[in-house]
Amino acid sequence: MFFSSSHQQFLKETGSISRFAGKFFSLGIKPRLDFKEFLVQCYFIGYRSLPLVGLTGFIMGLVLTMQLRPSLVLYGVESQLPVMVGIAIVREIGPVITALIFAGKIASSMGAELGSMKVTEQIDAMEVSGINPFRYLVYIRILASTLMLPILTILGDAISLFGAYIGVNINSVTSLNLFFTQVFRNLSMGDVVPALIKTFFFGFAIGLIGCYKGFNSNKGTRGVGSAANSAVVLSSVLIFVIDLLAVQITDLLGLN
Amino acid sequence: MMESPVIIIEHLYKQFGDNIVLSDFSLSLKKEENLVVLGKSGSGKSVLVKCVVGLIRPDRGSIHILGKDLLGLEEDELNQLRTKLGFLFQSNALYDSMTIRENLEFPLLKHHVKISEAEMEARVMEVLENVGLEHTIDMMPSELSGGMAKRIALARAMILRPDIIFYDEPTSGLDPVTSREIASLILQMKEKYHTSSIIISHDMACVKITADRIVLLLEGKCYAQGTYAELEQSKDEKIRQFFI
Repeated sequence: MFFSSSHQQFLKETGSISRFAGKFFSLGIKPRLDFKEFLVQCYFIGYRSLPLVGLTGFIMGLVLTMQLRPSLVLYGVESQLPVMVGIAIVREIGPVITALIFAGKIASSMGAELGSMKVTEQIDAMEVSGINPFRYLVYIRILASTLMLPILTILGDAISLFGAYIGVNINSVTSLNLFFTQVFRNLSMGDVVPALIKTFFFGFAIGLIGCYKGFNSNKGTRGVGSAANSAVVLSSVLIFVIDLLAVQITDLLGLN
Repeated sequence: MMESPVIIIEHLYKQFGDNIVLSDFSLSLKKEENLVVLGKSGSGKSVLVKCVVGLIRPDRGSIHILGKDLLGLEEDELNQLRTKLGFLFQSNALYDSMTIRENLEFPLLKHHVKISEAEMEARVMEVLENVGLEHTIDMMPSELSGGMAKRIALARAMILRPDIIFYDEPTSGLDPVTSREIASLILQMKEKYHTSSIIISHDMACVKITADRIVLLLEGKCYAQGTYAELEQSKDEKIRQFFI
């Protein structure tokens, strides 16, 4: 056989996720958003993720600066440290690391929460009382995830740059004003806009996979654990795939 | 003139892989009738009731509820129809992240967007009084005993004042005293709200209290039907085994 059973399983899963995404977009055509629940989800998905994103962003900025310094010193371009760190954080490291942290926290939480609701028949209960569970549970979560990740990335980048500023000041003295002037003078729209646009796709993929895995969970409590786990794994892989595609597209458009 | 049945199921088939669960199954439910579907564990009783509310799509056959062809309805029409149906799940299926008040308010808020605070409070208190659990209003489902959770699930099933209620094993996992209380509540709901009900059960004490008519589901088919007294006197071994 040309297709092994694992290939077939992969294709089946891909088809199933595509249908799930299609359902999301079909609801988007005639949106009836429960705005209160949307705000609740934005709070849990966005605001509650901020401390974790901020902490990892700060450490990442600090460590990146400390790791880069010796190489730049070797070539005598230590003064370019803020520029290099700024471009690395804004273009690549900030969006990807924030998305990975977000996937670990949000995709697993969505997978476990919806999976648990599925196995305890709470989703069925919603459906038989005439409430569309996809609209109420899935649509809102994916939308919140898509909108919150770009905001978190902007905040994460800012905190990360502050971490880099601290890192620069470990071995030399640079004012905050000078550091950020150097960073922003060398950043162009071509650095910022594509990086920001791809975070919408990261957020969508994380929300989609977290909800898909939870909504299709079965086999009892083991299924819930498996849903949470596979939601993180698959959404993390998707982040890198989307990142790869984004770089190619940015290249083709001449924005690099 | 005789009123037409509120539910008509005709020639229903459902198969999972090689396992035929329902095979040419038919039944009808009259207005204000308590119909018990009796059968062994794994005989397809729950599958039947989930087909009737549209949670599982049957392979063949037709289901008419309150004059509407269930299988031909658009999603919005189906959701509209479902507001006239109540469902008591075997597992209760209470929303475990919401308080009892929120569990009861949730369907009201979704279907009666313009309902006033006072009216909502009155509806919530009414169903809680029906099941005698007013004091649990601010508790979480995890704080309730099995019997209390079942009563709250029944209260939630009644909150939209449905015409038809489906009870999936309403007494499973409960002690005999609580089981009798739940069975009595089922009768009270029928008397107070004039509902029609399909009750899935193999608890004969509950069946005896609640059933106006019994349908025996065997090997995916309607094997026999009649009142409790009629079936109890049957000489057929397959029927008698339930009454011993």
